[in-house]
Amino acid sequence: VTNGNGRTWQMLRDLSSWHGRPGTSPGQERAELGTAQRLQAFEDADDISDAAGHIGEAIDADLRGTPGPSGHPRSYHATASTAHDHPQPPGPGVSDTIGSIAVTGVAAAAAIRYALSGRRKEHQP
Amino acid sequence: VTNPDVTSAAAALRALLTEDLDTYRRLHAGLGAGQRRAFAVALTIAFNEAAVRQFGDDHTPASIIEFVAGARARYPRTGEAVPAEDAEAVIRAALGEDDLIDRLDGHAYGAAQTAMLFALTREDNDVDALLASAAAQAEDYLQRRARR
Repeated sequence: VTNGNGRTWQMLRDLSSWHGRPGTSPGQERAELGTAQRLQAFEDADDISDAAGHIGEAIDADLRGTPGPSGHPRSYHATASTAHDHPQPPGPGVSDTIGSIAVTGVAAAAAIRYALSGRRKEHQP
Repeated sequence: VTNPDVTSAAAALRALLTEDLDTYRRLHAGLGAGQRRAFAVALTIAFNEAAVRQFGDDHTPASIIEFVAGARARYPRTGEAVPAEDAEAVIRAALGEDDLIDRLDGHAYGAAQTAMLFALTREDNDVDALLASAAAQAEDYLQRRARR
């Protein structure tokens, strides 16, 4: 049986003997249990490494762009309008929400989150 | 016993996360095949650990959406290279939804992880501790793989 990328579930099961370190918190243990992620990293190492190189160039461009007072790039509000300029394929189901958030900034994100978690409930019969 | 491939990989990752991009470019370009594999594994482990540190056990989809949107807005050139849903998927995968990475190819997976690891560590001054933990786990993982 294989998943969408052709990796065998048997390999996943073979590698599932990782049980983390004694005394770790549930969160830490879950991080260490990232067996599927490690397997993908191992199998796709060249592509992942290449991508990391490309992202390094993008980060460099961002950092060299217009540094702010702290040495970081432009402020959130100054850059917010450039964040979403490409179409979003179907994903985990939040792309539309993300588009709105990126355009309007952190304040809008907080408002949307509030709206999702609170106001909808208030308006339900 | 220290795996020299992991040591090289961790050095490259440290250069990236400390914003020493010239050194990162040099170290990353010099990675050999085994080092690139170690780099990918260490990157993945460091990213997973950073995501768990950031979002913990009580994360919500909205908190991940907000974080990704903020990161992409703050680093627009990087955001252009990483679709929001990829960034969200790798974070959610790190938090337990492993199946979300199935739809990502290696390049998309690596790009999203690298960008989000960078973003996750901007407010965390303990990059060295994160990388030390990731390197130790990467060594262990690669040793177990080598014994298979």
